[in-house]
Amino acid sequence: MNRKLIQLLFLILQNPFIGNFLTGRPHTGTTKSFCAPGLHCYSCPSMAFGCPLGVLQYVVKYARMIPYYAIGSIAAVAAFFGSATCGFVCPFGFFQEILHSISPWKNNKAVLPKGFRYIKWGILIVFVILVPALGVAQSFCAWICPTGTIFAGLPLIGVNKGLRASIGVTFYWKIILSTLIVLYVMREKRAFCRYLCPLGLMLGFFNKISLYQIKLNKNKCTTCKACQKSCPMGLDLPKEINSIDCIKCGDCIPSCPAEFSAISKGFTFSDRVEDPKTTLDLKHKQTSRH
Amino acid sequence: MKKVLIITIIFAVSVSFVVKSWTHEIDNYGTKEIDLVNSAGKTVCMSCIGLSDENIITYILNIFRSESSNSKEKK
Repeated sequence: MNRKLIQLLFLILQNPFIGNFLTGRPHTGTTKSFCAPGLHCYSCPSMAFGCPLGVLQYVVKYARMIPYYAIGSIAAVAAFFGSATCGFVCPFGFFQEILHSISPWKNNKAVLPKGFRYIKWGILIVFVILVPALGVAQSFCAWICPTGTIFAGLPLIGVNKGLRASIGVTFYWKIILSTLIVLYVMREKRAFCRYLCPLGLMLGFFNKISLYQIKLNKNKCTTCKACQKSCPMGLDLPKEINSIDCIKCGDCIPSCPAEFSAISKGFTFSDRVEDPKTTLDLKHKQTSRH
Repeated sequence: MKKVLIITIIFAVSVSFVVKSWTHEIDNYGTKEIDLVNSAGKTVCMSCIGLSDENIITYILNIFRSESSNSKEKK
């Protein structure tokens, strides 16, 4: 099935309460006890599920304890799928792709230097763990997360007069940051996922061992780099297939020249997970000797 | 086989974490972690939408204010 269609289905499945945008009140049913493995906001009126990052920070800040529920929810899904949920389930990932596809100033070749990818490590350690653990704030949600501003803050303020009285410095800061993120996403595909998303990073920790894998046939691969042009994360393919930054979307598969078809996807129980970086380096050395 | 074993262990630990959050009491009032999760989900999260006073400027100002008031009290 087409990936865009799967993303749309998951978007509808996660956001069935569209009518709540008119009332300005988020859904508060039992489904909110379950975390959906994607970046979205708790307070988004239509959202049926909880946000794993929101839960994590809330528990760390208010109970000063290890957030067993958030970690368990994320790891249970990631053990099977790794960060494939970023590519298929995440509403904000889908939003970014749509935004980029309709953007008049998109640049598919735009990629910031590799070092920028470490920003999300800093965000995870400082804003998702340390600052909430010090009891200061749910800092990722409060200061950085653009989904809260775009899909919850703005719609809620639009219909709920009571909330407008609470607008302050933080809100203006989040509006500015979210605008900058949206503008840059319109230029560079999935820029938020590439450089800022701590949830994608957490799911990516499981990429090498998860059951769902993007498989590279090293014997067929000619390292022509055709796959690299289609990667929404701007990775150095095929070396970085299943790397911590890979979202396992499989967009690289159809881009592989038909006569080779070196890349495939699916669940694998095999112990032997080939490291594309190592195998391709070896292959390059062998061919250069000849 | 090794991979299946690792994933089984990760999954089992994850499930035990989730079960613990539903069953383990975190204070003397019988509050469980899942109660915190539910309470977070059943209100408008003011932090998430940027309407909470959790801004770093206020936080730093409060530190200075409390320090200056403490020094005045000492004097």
